[in-house]
Amino acid sequence: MRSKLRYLFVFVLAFSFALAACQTADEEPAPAEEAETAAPVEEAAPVEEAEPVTLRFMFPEGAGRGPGFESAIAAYQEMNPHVTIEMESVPFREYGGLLPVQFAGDSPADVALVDSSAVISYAYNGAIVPLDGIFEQSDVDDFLPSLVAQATYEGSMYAGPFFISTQGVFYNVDMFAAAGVEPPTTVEDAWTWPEFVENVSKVAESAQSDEGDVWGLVFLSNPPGSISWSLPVIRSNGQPGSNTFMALSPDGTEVSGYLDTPEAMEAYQFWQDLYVEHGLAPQGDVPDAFGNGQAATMISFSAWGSVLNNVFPDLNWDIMPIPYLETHVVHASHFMPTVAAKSDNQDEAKAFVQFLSSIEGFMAYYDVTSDMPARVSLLNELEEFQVRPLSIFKDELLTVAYAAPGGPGGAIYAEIVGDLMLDIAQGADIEAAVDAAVTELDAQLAQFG
Amino acid sequence: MDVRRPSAHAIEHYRSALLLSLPALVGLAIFWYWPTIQAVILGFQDYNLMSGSQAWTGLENYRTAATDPLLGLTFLNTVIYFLMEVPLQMALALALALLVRRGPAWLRTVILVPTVTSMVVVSVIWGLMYHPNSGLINSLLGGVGVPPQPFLTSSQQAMPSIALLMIWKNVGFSMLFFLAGLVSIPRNYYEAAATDGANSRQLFRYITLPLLRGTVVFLLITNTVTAFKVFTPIFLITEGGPINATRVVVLYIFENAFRFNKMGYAAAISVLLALFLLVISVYSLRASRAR
Repeated sequence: MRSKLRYLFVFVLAFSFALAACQTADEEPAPAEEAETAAPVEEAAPVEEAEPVTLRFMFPEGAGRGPGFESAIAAYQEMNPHVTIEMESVPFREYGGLLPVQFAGDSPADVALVDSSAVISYAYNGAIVPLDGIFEQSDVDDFLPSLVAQATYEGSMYAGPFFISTQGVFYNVDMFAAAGVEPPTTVEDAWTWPEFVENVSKVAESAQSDEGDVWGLVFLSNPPGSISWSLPVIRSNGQPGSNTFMALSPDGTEVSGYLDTPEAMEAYQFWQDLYVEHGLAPQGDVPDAFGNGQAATMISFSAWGSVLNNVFPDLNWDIMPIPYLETHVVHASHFMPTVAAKSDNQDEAKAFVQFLSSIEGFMAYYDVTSDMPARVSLLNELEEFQVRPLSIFKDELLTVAYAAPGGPGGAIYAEIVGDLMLDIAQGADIEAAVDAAVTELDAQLAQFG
Repeated sequence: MDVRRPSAHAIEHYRSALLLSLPALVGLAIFWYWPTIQAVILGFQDYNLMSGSQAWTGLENYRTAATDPLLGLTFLNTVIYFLMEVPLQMALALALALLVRRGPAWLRTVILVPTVTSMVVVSVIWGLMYHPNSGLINSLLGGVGVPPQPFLTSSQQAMPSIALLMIWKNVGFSMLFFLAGLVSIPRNYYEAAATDGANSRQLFRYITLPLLRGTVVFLLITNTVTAFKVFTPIFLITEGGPINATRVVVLYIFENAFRFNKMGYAAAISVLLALFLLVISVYSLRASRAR
C-alpha cells in the first residue's frame, strides 16, 4: 500500500512539473520589441469601417478624477463611435498593489494609469508597450521634461504625459497674520528649511490655545511614507548634479555613495529634527489637521486646494513655495496612461492614450477638474495658473521641478527609501537606518545591472 | 484468504458519502491543493509577476534563502513575536477560562468580542490608540504620571505593542477552548481529591492541568501556526518598521512577491515556512502522545 502511495505521489509531482513546463512555453508573453512592430496608429482602419471595440481603462480614484475622465471619454467616443471605453476606478490605496497583479493576469485593462516613478519599471518588465509613433516631436517638446524623462526607457516613450502634480506649502493665513509672519510669495523668495522652521515655530507657538496644541507642519500623511514628499529635503542638500542631489546612480543600480553622502546624512538629521528635536510635525497621522486648524502649514499636492475649498470652506489658506536646504528642488510626477502588452486592442488603446495626451483630451478633462496639465503651453495659457495661489505651482514646475529617482528598480527604490524616511522621522538611529536601507537597496537593484 | 465483498448497501453508503463531500473536495482541490502545488513549483522558478515570464532555476531560490540575511532577520523577528504572544496569550486564556467558568454569560461574550471583530478594524483602531502624540494609551498613561511612550515608532516597543494587540484579539478564542476542556473534566475527580485533602493549588496542578493537556497541545499548535503567519496588523500599522523591527516572514514573502517582483523566491520562502510549521506541529503532537 505504501509503495502504491509513493508511486502515486511521484506521478502527481511529475505531472505537475510537466504541466508547469507546458505553461511556461504557452504563457511566455511577447517581448516588448515584438509589440513594437504592431501596426502604427495612423494605419488603423477608417472609422466608418471599423469593428466595434471595447477598451478597459483603469485608474486610481482621486478628487474629481472620475467625472474628469468621464468627460474626456465622452469627447473621445464622440469622435470614435466604434470605440466604447469602460472605466475601472480603483481605491487609491489599493492601486499600487493591484496594478502588478493586473498585468500578471491574462486580461489586464487595455489602458491603465501608472505612477510616473514606476513606468520604467513596468517597461523593463515588458508589462507595457512603447508608444512610438503616436507623439510628434512638437508634442514631446511641449511635455514637461520631468515627465518625459520618467516615461522614457531605452529611447522610447512608454506612457503619455497627461496631468502633473507638484507640491507646495499650504498655510493658514489667519495664523500667520496673528503671529506677524510674512511668508514668501514667489518661488525666487522661497524660504530655506531653517528659515521655515524658525518662522513656522513662531506661528505655531502664537496659535496655541486652550483647545490644544497646533502643529507647525503636517504632510498629506504623517510622517510621509512616499518619497515624493520626503526625498526632496535630502536631495536639496546637494548641488545640482552631485551624488546627493541624484540620490541614485545614473544606471539605477546603486545607492551606496548617493544616499549616504555626508550631505545626505546631514539632511537626514534635519529631517529627524523636524519631528523629534523641533517637534514641528507629528510622528503619527493627525487626519485633517490643517483643515481643522490643528496645523499652521501643510505640504500637499497642487490639486489639494479644491479639496480644502470643498471640505473646509471657512478656512483662509494660501500657498508658499516648498523650502529647501542648499538647492531648490521639488518632485514633479503623476500617473500616466499606458497600454498593456497583453491588450488585444493595442492600436485602439494607443489612439486613446494619444487623445488623452493631446490638448483636446486634457481640456475635456480639465473642464471638470482642476488638475494641472502636463504641457508647458497649457500651463502658460490657462488663466488659473497665471495668478496666485496656483501660479506658485506653475513656477515651481517650470523652474525647480525634477523627476524622482527611478529606473527599472524605481518601485523598489521608492518603497525602501520611503520606509527609511519614515523610520528616521520616527526617531530611528540614522546611521543604522541608512546603512540597512543602502545595503538592502544595493542588493535589490543589482538585478537590474 | 477470506475476502469479503462489500454489500450493496455499503457501496450505496460510500457513494452517497462521496457525492455529498464532492463539492467540498472540489473546493479544496481548486483553492487549497492546486495553489499549494503551484507554490512548490514556483519555488523552483524565476517568475516575473509583471511580464508573466517563467524560467526554471532549480534550487537557486533555496540557495538564496540560505544566505539571505534579511530572511534570517525576519525569521528571528517572527520567533520573537511568537515568544511574546503565544505563551502569554495561552496563560491569560486559561486564567480567564477559570475566572468566567462560573461567571455570568455576558462576561464571556465581552471577552469574545475582539475575536469576532475584523482584524483590519482592530489594527486601525489600535494604531490610533498607539499614536505617540495623541493616542488614547498615552493619554491614560499621562493621567498617572507616565511620560508619553513611542510604541509603534520605537524599535524596542513596536513588536511588544503588536504582540499586545494580538493577545487582546486572540485570547477569547483560546479561552473558549479552555472552557470546553474544563467542562469536560469530571467533577468527581475534584471531589475525590478534595476528600483526600488536596488544596485548590494541588487540584489545579494534579487534575486540571494534566486533563487539559489535549487542549493545550491543540491550542499550542494552532496558535504557533497563527503566530508564524502574522501579517495583517504589521502590514497595516508598521509595515515592518521601524528599521525592520517588525518585519516578519510573511510580510517578507509579500514584499518579495508583490513589491520586489520575485514571485519564485517568495514561493520558496513560503514552502520553507510551511515545512518548518509542519515539523513543529508533528513534533508537538508526538511529544504530547509520548507523555
